[in-house]
Amino acid sequence: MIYYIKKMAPLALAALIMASSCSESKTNTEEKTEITRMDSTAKALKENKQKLEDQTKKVEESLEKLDKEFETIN
Amino acid sequence: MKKHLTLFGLAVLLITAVVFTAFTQQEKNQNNQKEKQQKKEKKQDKPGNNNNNNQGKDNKEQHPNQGNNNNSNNDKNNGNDNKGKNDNSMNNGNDDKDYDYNWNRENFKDRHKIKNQDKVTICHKFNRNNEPAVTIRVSSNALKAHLNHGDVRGDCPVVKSDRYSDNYLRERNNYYNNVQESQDQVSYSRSILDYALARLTNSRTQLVTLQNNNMPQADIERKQATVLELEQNVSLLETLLGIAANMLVNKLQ
Repeated sequence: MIYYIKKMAPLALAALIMASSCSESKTNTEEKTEITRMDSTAKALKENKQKLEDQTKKVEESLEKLDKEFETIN
Repeated sequence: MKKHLTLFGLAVLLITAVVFTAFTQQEKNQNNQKEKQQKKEKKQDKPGNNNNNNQGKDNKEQHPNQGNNNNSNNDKNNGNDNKGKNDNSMNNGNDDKDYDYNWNRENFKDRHKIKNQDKVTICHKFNRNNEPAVTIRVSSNALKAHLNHGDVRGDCPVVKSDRYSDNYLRERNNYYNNVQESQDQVSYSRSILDYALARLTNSRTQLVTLQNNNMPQADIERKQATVLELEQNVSLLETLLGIAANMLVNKLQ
């Protein structure tokens, strides 16, 4: 009995280690891909946010001009 | 006896194989789900899917908390800037908005103070399955929309996860804070756009009245130029808002 357990245990252990290491490396690769994707999206978002901020300022300035221009009317 | 032991050994191996296959299958399913989601997001990100002129409006419909902002705001402001009313009170009782700004001539002058109010830390929850919540800082003007969506004030509880590394969780946190900052800017810009559209309508009406009242031509032309400049800037802002809102679609849901 002990002989067979001893014989099978290393095999089972090896199989388990292989399974866990495979899934571990898969998770790492997925995380790296996801981080790269997040980085590029964040960069694009930042650029767009800056453009939006600048254009909003222009609209605000135009609104101030409009306020001055129509100030006496209201 | 010998046979039984051999069978037992084989059974152990079989169970290991089954467990391995099951885990791999589960991972595959998760990958497939992620890929599908990414494809969906990419489709929505394509600028060709939208007509530039309608982008601002289209995107408002895509956000669950935005409802009929544009119309309600315009209706309230058309021909009447709420002058003297409401002061700094930003809440007009409409819970569908994704922002609490409600500009009029009085509080517009203090817009920087109102915009740069303190930020609040919240635990943002996602509608997607198995997506862990994320701690983000939001503008206090956008707090109500987040709370309506089911988020809670304060940091998310720290959960030790075997599925994600600490580095990944940190990067993810930074990413969603970036997304939120962009969202805050979109909300603010949209509120300014709504106000500008209302002011444009109002100013055009006033111009017609002035022309009828025989105002000097030079004065009218000067006012027309101001209105035209605002129109052009508003049009550009609409386009940029459309692009920005498209990029943010489903990012925080």
